[in-house]
Amino acid sequence: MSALEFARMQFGLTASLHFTFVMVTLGLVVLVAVMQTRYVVTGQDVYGRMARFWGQLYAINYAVGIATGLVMEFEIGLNWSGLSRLTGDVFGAPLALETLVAFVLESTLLGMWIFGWGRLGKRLHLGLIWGTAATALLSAFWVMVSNAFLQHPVGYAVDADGTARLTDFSALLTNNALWFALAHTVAATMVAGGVLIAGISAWRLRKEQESDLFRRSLRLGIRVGLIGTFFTIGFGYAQFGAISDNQPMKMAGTGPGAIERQAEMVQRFGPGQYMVGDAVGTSFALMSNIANLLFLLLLVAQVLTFRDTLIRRRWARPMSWLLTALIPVPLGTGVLGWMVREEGRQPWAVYGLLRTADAVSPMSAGALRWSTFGFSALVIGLALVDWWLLARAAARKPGSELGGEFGQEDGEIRATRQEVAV
Amino acid sequence: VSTVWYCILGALFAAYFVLGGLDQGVAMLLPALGGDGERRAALNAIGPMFLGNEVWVVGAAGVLIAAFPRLEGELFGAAYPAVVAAVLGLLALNAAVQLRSRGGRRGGFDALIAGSGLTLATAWGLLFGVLLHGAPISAGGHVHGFAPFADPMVWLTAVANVLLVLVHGAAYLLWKRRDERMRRLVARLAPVAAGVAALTLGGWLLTAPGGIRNPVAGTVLALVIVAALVVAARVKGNGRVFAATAVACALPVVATASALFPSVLASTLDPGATVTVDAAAAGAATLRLLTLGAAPLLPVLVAVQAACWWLFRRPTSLYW
Repeated sequence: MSALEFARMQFGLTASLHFTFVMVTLGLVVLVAVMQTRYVVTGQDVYGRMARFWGQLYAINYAVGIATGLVMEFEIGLNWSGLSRLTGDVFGAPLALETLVAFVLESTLLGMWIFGWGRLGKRLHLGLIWGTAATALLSAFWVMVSNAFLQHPVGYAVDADGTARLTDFSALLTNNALWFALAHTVAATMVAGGVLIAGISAWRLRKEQESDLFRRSLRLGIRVGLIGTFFTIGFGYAQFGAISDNQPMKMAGTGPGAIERQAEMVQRFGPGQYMVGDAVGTSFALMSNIANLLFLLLLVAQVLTFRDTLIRRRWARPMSWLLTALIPVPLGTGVLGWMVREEGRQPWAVYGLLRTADAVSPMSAGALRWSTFGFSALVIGLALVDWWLLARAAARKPGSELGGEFGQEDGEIRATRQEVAV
Repeated sequence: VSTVWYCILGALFAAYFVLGGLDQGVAMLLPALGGDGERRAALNAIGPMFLGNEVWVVGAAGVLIAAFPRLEGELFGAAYPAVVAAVLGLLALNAAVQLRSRGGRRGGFDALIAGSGLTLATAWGLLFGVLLHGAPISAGGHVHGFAPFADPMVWLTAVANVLLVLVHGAAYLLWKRRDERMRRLVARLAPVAAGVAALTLGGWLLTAPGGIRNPVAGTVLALVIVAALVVAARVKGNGRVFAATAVACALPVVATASALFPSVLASTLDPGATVTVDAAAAGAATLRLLTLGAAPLLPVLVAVQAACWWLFRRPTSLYW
């Protein structure tokens, strides 16, 4: 494999795995904020215990997810110096706003929320989780502004040394590759969060039918997953117009139409292979079929939540099993979506402006091979650790989360208290 | 405008070296604390602030990428081994601190936490060393090999940084947990750190790499670091000890940048290939956007972090 192929494989793997963390994080933080709001508004203890139980999973996923995000930030600098040299001026700005304004604030607020149970006022504490959710969504927005520039560069001019300079920031914000894609992505993260909660709740309810916490979580998860799937599909189709304008090859496949467009592209940009690989079409077909099927399944599950049929009736058991089995499906489908968007942009790193082959750092294939093995092992290891810890946390008794004092206490919290006293 | 953003970049890194430095220092001290209870208490003394401390480096890297895109490529290339070590150290520290009390084997986690603290402190020290030494950059902006890492001065700088961070971590535990053993540790270690820092200063003045443009400014600031460490060893109040080590941790980045200004990374091959602040900066429109979009929010960020330190001023419950 060449240096370019290693660099692409490395970034593709890191970005895909990072995105699975992002989906769980974004989906869970909004749902936890909703639970905690109900707790503060209604004063019902069960919602507080829900927020704490799912908040624990959220915090674990966030802790490991940061690591994969850091790897990505440094990979751009180390392996893709052409990208920062030629277009860093333009797409670096929204990325800086993302880290500085959104991410740094998000982490600070989250640290306070995690340690704030039972220590801070209820409303302040609720404000912290909503602040965390809002800054997380703001992060997603700025990242998508950057990504939309790569898909469809606007608002820049190339100066005398061939460097792209930002000329019109508002053009970045009104990019036709931005808003529907953002809505599509955010809706998909809600599906991931909803299905995760529904799947774990269904599993717990098979063992302990009477748990009010998981009964309510199951209903919330299915509903959010269903609504999220609807909007994900809708905002997916809504992008078609912009995609065929911006990137005529993406959906063209390899048939006669594609060959015709290939000739047009050669005329516009000079000789080269502009047809995208088969992976794009396959990924697209898989993604859309899985999404449609998921919508139908969640619709059935939603109907079965009537009078808790899903929990109480034996004949509804297979649906409960299915919900648990569905947990990884939105994550895999999300990665397929990125395959369509990113693989379908090739051979460009910045569409029509910078080829991927010119964006890679002038490093030897050997050096990139080792960093690919190293970083791949690292991010795969992080993903495995994350899911192992999530499974452990999901299996624990609600109320046994570490830290603070809240609601029904059990041995562990008392033990922690004693340690503090010592 | 590029100089203003260079100062902001410096401030972000200084904030990270003070706040992230206390994380690294406490991490390195962890094995020295007897028993699981002590170690847990030490980690939870950072608890609510930990994520806030660590993200400053992400913010600083973001500004580096956006405001100084050309510096980022060459600096990362010149200091590649140190940068990779720092990234791995950051990953391990962040994950291990937060997950320690969720896994079964805490001993392994403790070793990982201490190791990543040491790795980070060493890597950042090496980065200062590479900046002061200069790098073999040719006119095209390509970096040829890792010659700076063969210079013993670069490694002495790393040792000085490790000692500095260790004293800072001890001072934090002294202040936050009123741990009297830490007072003895600071009293013994701070003079050693001051001595090594003075030795590092002397070494750089003797070898006098061509990249150092303002030896006087650099020397004065480095002497303030030495003085702050001496003060930390002698002063009585716990808060004052911590304040002194915090000053000492904030200054290396300021001293290094001031000594080199207006260059950032000198070329040891071709003076024409030296990276200066102006040449490394992004275009005017990008800097204006950052000035409008990000600069007004920096005070908000500082205020939120200050609120965090205030709200959690008393010992927290054990979460990790």
